Amino acid sequence: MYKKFFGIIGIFASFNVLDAFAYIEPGTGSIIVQGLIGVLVGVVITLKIYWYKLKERFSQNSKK
Amino acid sequence: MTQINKTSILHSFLFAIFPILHLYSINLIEASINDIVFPIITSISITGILLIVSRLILKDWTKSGFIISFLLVLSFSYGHIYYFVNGMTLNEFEFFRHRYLLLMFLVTFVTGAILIVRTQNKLHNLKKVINAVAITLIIITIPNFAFGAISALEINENVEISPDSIQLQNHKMSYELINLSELNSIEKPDIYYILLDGYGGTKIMKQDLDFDNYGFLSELTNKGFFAPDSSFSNYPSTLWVMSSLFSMNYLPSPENSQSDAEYNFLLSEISKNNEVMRNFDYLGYEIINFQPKGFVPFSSSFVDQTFCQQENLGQTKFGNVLLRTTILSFFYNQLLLEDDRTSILCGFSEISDLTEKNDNPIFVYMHLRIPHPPHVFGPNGEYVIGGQSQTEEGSFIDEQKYVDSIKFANKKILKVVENILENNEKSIIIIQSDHGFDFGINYENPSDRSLKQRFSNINAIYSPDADKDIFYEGMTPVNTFRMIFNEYFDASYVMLEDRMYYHPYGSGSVHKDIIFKDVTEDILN
Repeated sequence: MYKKFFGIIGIFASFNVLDAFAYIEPGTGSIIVQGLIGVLVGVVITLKIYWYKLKERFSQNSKK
Repeated sequence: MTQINKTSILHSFLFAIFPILHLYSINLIEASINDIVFPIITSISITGILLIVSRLILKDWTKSGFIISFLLVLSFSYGHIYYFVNGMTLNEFEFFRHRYLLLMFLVTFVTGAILIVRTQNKLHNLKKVINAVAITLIIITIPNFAFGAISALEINENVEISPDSIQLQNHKMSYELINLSELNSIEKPDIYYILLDGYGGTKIMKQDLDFDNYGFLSELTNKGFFAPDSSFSNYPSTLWVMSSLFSMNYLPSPENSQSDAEYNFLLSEISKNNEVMRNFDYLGYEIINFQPKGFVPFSSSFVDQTFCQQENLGQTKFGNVLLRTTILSFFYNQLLLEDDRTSILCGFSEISDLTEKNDNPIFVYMHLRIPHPPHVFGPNGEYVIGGQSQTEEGSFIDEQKYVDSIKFANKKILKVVENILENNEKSIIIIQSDHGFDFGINYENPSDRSLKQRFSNINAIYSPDADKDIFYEGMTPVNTFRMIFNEYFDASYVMLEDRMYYHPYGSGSVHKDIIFKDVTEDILN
């Protein structure tokens, strides 16, 4: 397990750093997309948590 | 003190590391894992301290967690939003400047914090939701890591470095190492290469900026320099020029490159293993390097000493971009300019004493970011930090400040030359710029005038005892060290034809789809 972990770290550490020629992408577009996915997950979980309460309320309304 | 409920503050720590992991994950080939260690430790530490302070005030871990998470989300999104809206106007009013945006973020944070503090609702469910969101954000960076790791491994495996060449895919840079055995120096002069970043050609500056710099050239000529008023560089961007200068060769054609990252990787390897330093190393020179960090990479096996080198997070490209995406970008720009000023003054002051400090012959490479913007000096070294001096893409804006920077650089350079020659009159001094100026350039489709301005440079050489006929007007940087090695070390490098190659070099295109176009005739005619 440890061997695998340090192996993966080693691979990342061995990547050549080409700072001078590197173009570091700020990633504004992709962070917005990831943020939207996060929000979507939040909405789904909120709906799941409150699903029964909502269902109950709607069913009570329809009984009236 | 109540016990910490770990789920109350878990999301804060996840929000503290997510932006750093995200930035690293999409730049896996260009960045190193070392780049993220310091930012992650700092971000986690600051988050921890803020949580403790907030808990001491509110006596509630859950509310503290929410407030700090809210602050982190705002702080890490600030730079993205700023650069997205920067320059947009509302009825010709620049609404999205730092001062207004900072105020908006402050109002948003204070409003959110008050709502969190005052709420009477139980926040148990909200905590679950926010933790789920934070965990999701971390998880969805994993595919980026996987794809990036595969590409990086492929590049690493494909590069072949041998003593006389570097090859990546079908691009090959060969070194003429045969000359090394012919190098035979009886007396090894100290050699100073001073790069004045962005210093334009005298003739072009007179024509297009109405700035007369002939006085400076005369002073250099009087001291024995060869200093033509019109000369040009081989490429429009620092990194390409310097890679070519130190390799004493034109860069390999990238026409069939597999990817931009691969080509940039190749250039990086070419610079690290460059022939100029390899030769000086072989000749027993002490190689001394001074340049802003993150410019041209040199192998540590060549460089013996550095001077005036400053270390901070913003000195790596990754740290620089990370800081710019946060709310610290406003303060960071100011700090960076202070650093620029200190570092340039340090370079001017330290370089003169290097001969005295070293017993071996020395080769000094000093890269000064002057007169390149941002401009931090008035004509007499006055403190002029402030105001915009470059467009978002990087082209120059302020002609007066540019000229003022040149005036200050001239004064300092004359003093440096005087001091160096006082210490050792046999020294060789090369004062060269990588490129000229580019006010109002259209990167994608530059006019001939813009090309002339950008490729124009200063190329002044002091070389005692050398045959003056070896210098010629129109000599470009690619031939500089060929000439030095031939003249002083009996090498037999063939002088290359002086050509000029263009590719858009604005910040958005400099590393993308690189195809150099020969613009020699456009510039010289």
